[in-house]
Amino acid sequence: MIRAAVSTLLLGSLVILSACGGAPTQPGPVLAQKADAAALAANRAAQVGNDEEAADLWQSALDLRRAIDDWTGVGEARLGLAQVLVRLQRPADAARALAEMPADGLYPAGQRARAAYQLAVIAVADVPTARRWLVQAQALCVSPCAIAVPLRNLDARLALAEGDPAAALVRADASADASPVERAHAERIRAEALGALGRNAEALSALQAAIVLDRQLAEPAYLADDFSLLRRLALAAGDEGLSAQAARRLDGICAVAAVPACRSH
Amino acid sequence: MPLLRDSDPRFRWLGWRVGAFVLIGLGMALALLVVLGLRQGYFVPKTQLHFVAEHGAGLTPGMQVRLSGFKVGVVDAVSLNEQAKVDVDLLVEARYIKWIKPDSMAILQQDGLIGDHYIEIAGGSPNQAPIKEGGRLTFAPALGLSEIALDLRQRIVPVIDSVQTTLDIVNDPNGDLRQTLANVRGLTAELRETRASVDQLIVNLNALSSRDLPAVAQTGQQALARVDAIAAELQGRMPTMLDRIDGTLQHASRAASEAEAMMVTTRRAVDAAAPRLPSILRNGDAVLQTSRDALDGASQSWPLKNWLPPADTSAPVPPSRP
Repeated sequence: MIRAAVSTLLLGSLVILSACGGAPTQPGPVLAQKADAAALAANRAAQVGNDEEAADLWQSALDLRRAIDDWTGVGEARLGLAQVLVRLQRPADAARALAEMPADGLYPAGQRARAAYQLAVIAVADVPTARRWLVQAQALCVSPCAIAVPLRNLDARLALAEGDPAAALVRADASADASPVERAHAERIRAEALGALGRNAEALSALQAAIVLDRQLAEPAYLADDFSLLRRLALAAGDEGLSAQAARRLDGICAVAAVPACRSH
Repeated sequence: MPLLRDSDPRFRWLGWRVGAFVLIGLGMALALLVVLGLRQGYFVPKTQLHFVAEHGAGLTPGMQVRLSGFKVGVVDAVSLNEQAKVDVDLLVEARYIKWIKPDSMAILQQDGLIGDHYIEIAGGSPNQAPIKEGGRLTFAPALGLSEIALDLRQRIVPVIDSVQTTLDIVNDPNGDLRQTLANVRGLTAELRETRASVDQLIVNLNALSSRDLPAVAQTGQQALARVDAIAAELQGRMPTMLDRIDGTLQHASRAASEAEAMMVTTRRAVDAAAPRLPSILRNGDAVLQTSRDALDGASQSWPLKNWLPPADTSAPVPPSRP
């Protein structure tokens, strides 16, 4: 009995040791390694908010991928670079980095769809241009589309901007499998659409759901946008107390963060 | 009954055989010791040299002494003397002593970024006789980047202050230079006015009648008197003005000399540091690369990969909310 237990234990240990003690992975070509390292470091820099460094690293990754004719890698680097350029308030540069991608067949279809989607997000203030890019992104995003939820929410946002709150209400996707940031965005769009349709109580409820999610995301721009809308909805509903509370919260954020919602405040 | 008989032929001369084996073994061990000693330079005649260092950091007995990059000896002893300075004795192989002169320098160096320290003997006038037994060398601690930066700072700051003072003097609206220039400008304007008056006088001379001549002559005399007064004033003020300008120029010249000396010092410091910079940068780059590889490897292993946020080479999808 004991002998069998010891044997099993030894065998198990041997298997575990064999699994841990495998041969080291063979290093790849130098430029490919460098490109991978630059892309990895760029993602890490972006995660900690070091956008300047992330932009430099994505540019390095882009140059290295181009040098080894890795179009998929070039596409990823362009998408990453454009994203951090937008955060650095350089939307024109970001659009330039992506401009050729949607129409260029050398990039995978998924990346072309993402490029068109990012171009639509960059151009969101210019509704017709954003709509054109969004239509292209929807056409390029083959099933199963990895960015289906962001595309639907962007569609809903543009519908709101085009003065069609009913369509926005239908298109906003706050499904449970969506990421928190997309769920919060969908709730925010629903709140504005419901407010525009005169359903203030439902609008306030949807907005409260968005605020809960945005607090978890801890993004000042989103929270300021939420409180700005909350103040408008509360005024429309005649709730002076809620409006004053929203204004105080908005003032608190705007005192320390320069975000778009504060400029119109 | 014994298993082996004493008369077995294999035991013949057993004592001699064992003795020979032990002797050969001892002989080989001795030979090995001699060879190792020769390789280490234990049996080579050596000359003792000496220097005094301000600080004992990096100085240890046994560290190498090099000449033109070759090992020529070792540090024999490091001790603190009565003046709280560090006495260092070197043992240098006698065959290399011909290249070491009384004015040679002992410089504390380091192999690479994190390598061992060693003493490099450098310099020395070729026409001088070799250093004698017990001779004393001048010690120069190698300057690190921080020391070079500190040294540069100490030299540059007074020069910048001096230049600033000079510029303040030049720019001071109530200062000598600005006042002098203002005076010169005023005098020049007055001279122009006088010149215009004289020109006007000459133009009008043709139209003068004998009746007007006395008045004209009087006006001319007044103008000339004014010119005389201005010239006298200029003559009085010019030496002072020139003295002041001279003083200012001397100040500026001193500042320029100091700046030039600073540039020479800077250049020397940069020349001293420049050869080390590429290797430092290369080593630093290699160390960073290795560290990054190690961290990447560790971050992909259990359990660290569960604790760190995921990061891959793909760009994340940005949110649809601008």
